[in-house]
Amino acid sequence: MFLGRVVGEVWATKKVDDLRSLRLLVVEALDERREPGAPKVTPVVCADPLGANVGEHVVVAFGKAARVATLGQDGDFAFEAAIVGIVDDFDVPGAPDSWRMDDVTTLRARAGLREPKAGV
Amino acid sequence: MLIGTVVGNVWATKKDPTLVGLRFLVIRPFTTDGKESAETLIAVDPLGAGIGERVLVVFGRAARHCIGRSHDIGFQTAVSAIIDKMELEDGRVVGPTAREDVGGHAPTTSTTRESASAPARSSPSAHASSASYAAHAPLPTPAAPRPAGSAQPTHAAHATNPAHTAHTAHTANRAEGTHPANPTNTAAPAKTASSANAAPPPIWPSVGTPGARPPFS
Repeated sequence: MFLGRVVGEVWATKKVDDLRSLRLLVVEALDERREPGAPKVTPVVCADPLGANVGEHVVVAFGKAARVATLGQDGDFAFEAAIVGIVDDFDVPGAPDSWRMDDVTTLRARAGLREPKAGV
Repeated sequence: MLIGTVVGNVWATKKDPTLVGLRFLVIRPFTTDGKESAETLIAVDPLGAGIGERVLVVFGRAARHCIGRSHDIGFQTAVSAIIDKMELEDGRVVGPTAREDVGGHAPTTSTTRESASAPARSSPSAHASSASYAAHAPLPTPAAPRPAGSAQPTHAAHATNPAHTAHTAHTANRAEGTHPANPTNTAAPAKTASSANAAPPPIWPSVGTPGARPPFS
């Protein structure tokens, strides 16, 4: 399992049947040793049963844990990574800048949601 | 699971009996900074992906399931999907092949980052690889290029076909058919022996050529 940040979304038409109706997100691991934007990052593609947005921090699990978290059971399914949690907040003293979470305004704007009016 | 670009094929005659009839691809993992990953991996391909196409690679139990044989099989990597589109946070849109990629601002951030962190590094080759995102994979179009919109119904029809394993067997047989029983009986070695002064043909000259096959096929 690792803590990551959603950086994108993937679509595929020609795929194994099990992957139908699964939302696939691209997650980049948060790495304490890595400078922000350091080269050679291979992101992980995860099934997303929770509906995470791009820019959010998530917890990613692999293998049986991923299948159970997504479908409620283990079995022969064609994926082995899934988002099992959307991070509200974390406290890691000395974490690099690349770990900083987007504020709610940015996330809302990215998701196409309007900012709620004050006093409503 | 990860995204990768198909960069070649692998053939092996002497292999585990559980692997007979499977098609193997060499895949270079996608990296978010637009540079080429130094590592490659081998995956079984039940879908029939071509060179240059972007694919989704799965591992372990999921991969053995995708291969469509039993779990008693000597392989743990498989292609589970052929990517239509990947949208990234920074505005890049990664298409089914490098040719369909839409730039975004990744190259500028990449180069500024590079110049800021290491201004002394000005090797032209190093910059050439990171200068444009399209250079991420200098690969040609795959053997069967398909426009994003037009060919999708066939893909959908294919995806809904529950007997995709039959297609697997078909493509595998086709791949097996191109593999010669005895590579030494082709005319190519004799020709190269006669012209000894000429530069020897590259071992793998045709990777990246549509419909490429190694010289012994």
